[in-house]
Amino acid sequence: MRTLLALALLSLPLGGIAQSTLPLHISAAALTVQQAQGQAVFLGKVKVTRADFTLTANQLTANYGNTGLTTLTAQGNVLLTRTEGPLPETASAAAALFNAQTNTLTLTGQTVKLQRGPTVLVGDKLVYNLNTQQARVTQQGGPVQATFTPQ
Amino acid sequence: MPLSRPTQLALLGAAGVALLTVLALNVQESRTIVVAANQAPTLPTTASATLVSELAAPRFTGQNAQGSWELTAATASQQAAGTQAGATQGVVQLRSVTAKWLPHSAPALGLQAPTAQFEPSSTLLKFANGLTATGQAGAYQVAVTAAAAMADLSASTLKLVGGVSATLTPR
Repeated sequence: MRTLLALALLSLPLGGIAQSTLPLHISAAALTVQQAQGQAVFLGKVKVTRADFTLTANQLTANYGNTGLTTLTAQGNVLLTRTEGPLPETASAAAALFNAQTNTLTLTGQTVKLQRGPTVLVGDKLVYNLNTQQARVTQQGGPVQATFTPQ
Repeated sequence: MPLSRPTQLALLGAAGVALLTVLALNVQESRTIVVAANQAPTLPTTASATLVSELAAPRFTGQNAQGSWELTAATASQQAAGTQAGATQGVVQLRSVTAKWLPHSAPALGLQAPTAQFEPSSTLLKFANGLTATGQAGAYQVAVTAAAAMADLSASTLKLVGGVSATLTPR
């Protein structure tokens, strides 16, 4: 049974993603677009840059349809960095899934690490709701590890 | 002892005759060579020829289950090579290429490239000298550049390689 051990209470690095008025830049070694499947796959040293955050991963897959983007999946060495704010904020995981319909971002992997300055949360899954800007970190069969450093 | 006038004239005449003879012999010799070549022609054992055909402002169109595409270019050229064994048609080279892909279930995709090529028997379109693709992805206007690309017109796939760079601008 999934053990929910922590509700993240931080202003997470993912907060800036909800904004969509800024231009986005993506670089990669290769890109494959399959129109029939409605899929675009960026491969090799993928880097997504916006004024307020960067995302790096080995692969980034976008699924889209008539109404636009449906899901965005990053795989392999996923690192999300918020470049705005007084403290550096990062989230790292093996994979990340953005669901445009539910407006949620889910990070998964053996170690999902969320860090804001000296504060660190570690679990194996993080679900972030971009509407409510609330994040939930969980760990299957064990405790979520949290490190809080007094300022 | 000085030569008499008649002797000088005789010697000059002899020299002139000798010179004319040499000239005549040379001419005769060159004529002989030419005639010999014409008289004994050798048929070549192999022969080949190439023919380059070029079209100005060509337009290609097509469709599949997912939608339709249109390809225009400033010029299209094709080199056909023929030998005794048969004839082969080379790839079609396109310059200043603009392509438009109009899928049934997704926004249109535009392609621009300085060159492209495809084989007559294939639906693969290769871009070796860079490519810019533009389209829409949800709320974004997308522009993608790459060093090279390959499009499969029958499968509606596009593969870009070499420094892929995409810019998504909110619409």
